[in-house]
Amino acid sequence: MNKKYEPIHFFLRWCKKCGICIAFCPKHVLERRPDGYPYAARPDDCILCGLCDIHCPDYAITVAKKDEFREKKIVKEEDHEKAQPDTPAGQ
Amino acid sequence: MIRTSEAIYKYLRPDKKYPHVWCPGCGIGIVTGALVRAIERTGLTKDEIALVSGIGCSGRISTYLDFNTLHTTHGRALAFATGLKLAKPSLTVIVVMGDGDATAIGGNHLIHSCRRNINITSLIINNNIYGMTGGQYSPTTPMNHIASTAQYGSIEKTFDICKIVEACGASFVARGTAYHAKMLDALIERAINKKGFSVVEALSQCPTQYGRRNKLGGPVEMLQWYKDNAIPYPAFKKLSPDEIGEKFPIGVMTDLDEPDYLERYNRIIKEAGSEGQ
Repeated sequence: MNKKYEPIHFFLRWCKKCGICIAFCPKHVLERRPDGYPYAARPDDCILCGLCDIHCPDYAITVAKKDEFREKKIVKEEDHEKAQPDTPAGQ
Repeated sequence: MIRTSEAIYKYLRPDKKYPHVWCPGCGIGIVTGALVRAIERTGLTKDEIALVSGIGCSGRISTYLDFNTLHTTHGRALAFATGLKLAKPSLTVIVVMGDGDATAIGGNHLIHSCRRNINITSLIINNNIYGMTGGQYSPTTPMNHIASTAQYGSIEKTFDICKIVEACGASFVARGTAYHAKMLDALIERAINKKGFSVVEALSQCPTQYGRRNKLGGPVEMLQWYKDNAIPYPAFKKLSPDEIGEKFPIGVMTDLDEPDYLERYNRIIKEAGSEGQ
């Protein structure tokens, strides 16, 4: 997994396992765990549309804001470049 | 776009028990999220809003949301709200009712509030059944659909709430569904900002009492049905009767600019006050 940042957070204490978030995710990011709760099986595919967030009847899903995500992604890429020995970082 | 998760924690009462009472997959939770996002978008504070609700599953909304709230008797939410609005016109009064609440026992209040055109926003959550009391058929249960008091299917015709309130003179009439949640919060926002009586009908799935009895599947299948059959109102008008079938229109259906009840009432106060001088 390239991005370690998790875009979708589930508050499982409020979740009632209705499955709406899993069914209506346009990128099929979510799947059911064996106990019925949802989890982000493919977080890399998430486009942060927020449909799971607004369709959750129990307010149990939080999707990170786009700006936050972008910032973190940019920082990660810079870190990645710095880690490469051949890149002329700092020059 | 405002996400529910950003707005909801600001407006939920922290001292209530969570998760809330609604069944798994119930659309009322989604509609409440849309209501909260709409209020967040209007920029009104908690003190400027009065939320009135009747009895039923939808009546619980006023218990969970932290505004000035009034949980009233069955069907009389609009009667209480009318008194509230006349006593304190500065409040933005939002009334949340279910379909049985608004059109059956409170049907009289609904049509007369439309006729008066009083500046109240009413959100009618239509789940086609009396969910809380055990699945009795309501005026919006589709014909031939099974309810606990109609074991061989309902033999009565169905109310079209939007057509009724339109005919009775409401200033703003719109319909949304729980699937079209993003559109629903835009409709509720417009209804709150509208002067005059505004009605938003929110179609919401009841998987426990209505869906299970009529073998419509779970919440996912019911939301999928809304997705497949809802058509924007301008496109719906162009459909031929053969094409309509099960399809229904969503979106804004009426948007009129007419003097509301308080405007006319203030005019009377002015005229009557100047008479004695």
